[in-house]
Amino acid sequence: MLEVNITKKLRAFTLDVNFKADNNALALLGQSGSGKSMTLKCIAGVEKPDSGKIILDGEILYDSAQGICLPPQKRRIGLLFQNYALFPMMTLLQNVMSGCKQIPRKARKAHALELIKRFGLEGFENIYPNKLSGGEQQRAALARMLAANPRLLLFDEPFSALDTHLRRQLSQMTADVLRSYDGSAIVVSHDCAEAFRLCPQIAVMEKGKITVHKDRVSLFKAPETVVAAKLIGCENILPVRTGEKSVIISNLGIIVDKIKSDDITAIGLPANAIHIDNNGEYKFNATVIQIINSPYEVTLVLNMDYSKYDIFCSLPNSVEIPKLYSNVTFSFDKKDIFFLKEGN
Amino acid sequence: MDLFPLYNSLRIALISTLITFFLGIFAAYYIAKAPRLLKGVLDCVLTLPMVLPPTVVGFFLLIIISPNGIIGKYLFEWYNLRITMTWYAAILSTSVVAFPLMYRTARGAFESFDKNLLYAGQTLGLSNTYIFWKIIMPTCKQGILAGVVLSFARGLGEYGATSMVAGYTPNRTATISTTVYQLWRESNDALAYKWVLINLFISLSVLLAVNLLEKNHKRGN
Repeated sequence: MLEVNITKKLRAFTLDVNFKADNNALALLGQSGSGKSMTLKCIAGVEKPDSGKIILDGEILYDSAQGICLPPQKRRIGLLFQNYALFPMMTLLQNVMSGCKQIPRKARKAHALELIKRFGLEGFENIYPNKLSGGEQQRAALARMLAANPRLLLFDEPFSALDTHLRRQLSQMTADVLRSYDGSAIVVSHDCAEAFRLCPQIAVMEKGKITVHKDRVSLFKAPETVVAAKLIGCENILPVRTGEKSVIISNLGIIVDKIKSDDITAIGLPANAIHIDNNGEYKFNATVIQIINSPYEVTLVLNMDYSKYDIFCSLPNSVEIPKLYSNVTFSFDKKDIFFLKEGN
Repeated sequence: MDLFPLYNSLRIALISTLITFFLGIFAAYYIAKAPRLLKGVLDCVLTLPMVLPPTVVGFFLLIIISPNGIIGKYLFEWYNLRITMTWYAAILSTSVVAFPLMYRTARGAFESFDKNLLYAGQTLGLSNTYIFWKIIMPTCKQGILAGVVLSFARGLGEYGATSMVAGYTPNRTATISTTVYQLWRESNDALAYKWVLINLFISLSVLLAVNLLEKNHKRGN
């Protein structure tokens, strides 16, 4: 169990995070520059917060009130970097062994070799990191991190430097590591699919604050804030005006009523929630101004004369696609609308 | 031909390189981490000997170490120790003049060092001393070696400040550079040429070494 409640003044904003993580992996999802990496660094102890508390499994790692700040060496927290941070002047084996300081000198090599084997890096023991591929470096960094037998695992954008295929493979491998790992883990990411694959819990960070923190399924069902909706990949985010128990989507000329409208500033409408028929609760007419083909679906870009917002609508390939520049009626249902507020 | 100046120049340059190595790295390491304002001020002060005329450096040194200087006074009174006009006074002058070269190249190397390597080491439980000697230093090796070679070359060629604090006494304080000057004054061109050639040879070797180091550095290893 990890409890974090810290503040730290940064150049653009003040980091002010407060969360708890149980033994399920937690994703910190946010746009770049939202303070995710700094949060990890503070937990690992390589950066010092201005004030607050960090408690791991009942042990105080940092408490400004009591003047406690354990050095990173004493925290036993593994941190995996975006650029892997393998020591360039050491071979793979030496890199992994450098993580083995906790165990007796004689057992280190066997322990390191076992991890190297587990991550499929046999034969590379005497190779220097710059001769390893991105995927191999990533696995080597995972092996080195686990060699230190950490109580908590932190991943800083672990796959962002890899291509799609490798990304999938390694995130599979990381998912295995997390499953067999008996402790908390935090994964920092800006990729919602990655966060969803690895972590049952997702916290959304905006400008140094956690604005939404819930389990992954309900986050994708109801993202709550504009940024969260963007991060889960919601294509249409439209500003609204609020009335009493209703919101007015002026861009579509639609009023949604009988809802709690406090604080709502925008609605999100996933592209696949819009259908090309009259059957939905809310209807609108729009001109198809662009047709984008992708392998599994077709995305229509729609526009209305009176709107400066383009609307994206994605349809399965099986449906009959309207002609370019035709004016068509589209509809959607209330249950598919995300009602969103501002994060701060 | 009396080779004392070569021997003297080499020992002065070697010892002062050793001193600037540790002082330069120490200063570079801590100043690279300092807040911006402090960094700017210290950087100016520490680089000053590089841009000041060596005679000005020599002047300052004499104010400090001459028998009636700020520190020299006490050394002379208490221990009857006279530092000026000895060969080891030249160590002091060459160290001061060569220090900025070591300091600046080492600082450049430390600043381009990937901080994540430091963080990775710390989270793996490695001590800061271990990280410094086994991870930071080997990674910054090229930059630091270039600094060592440059400050050695500077130490070897130092004339202005050295001639002020150590003077020219044959077989006691004579260095290559002060010898060349002396020989020229005595119109002993033949011997002066020999020393000039020796000096050229050493300087070219040093430059070659620096170029090789930089080439390796660019190759990334």
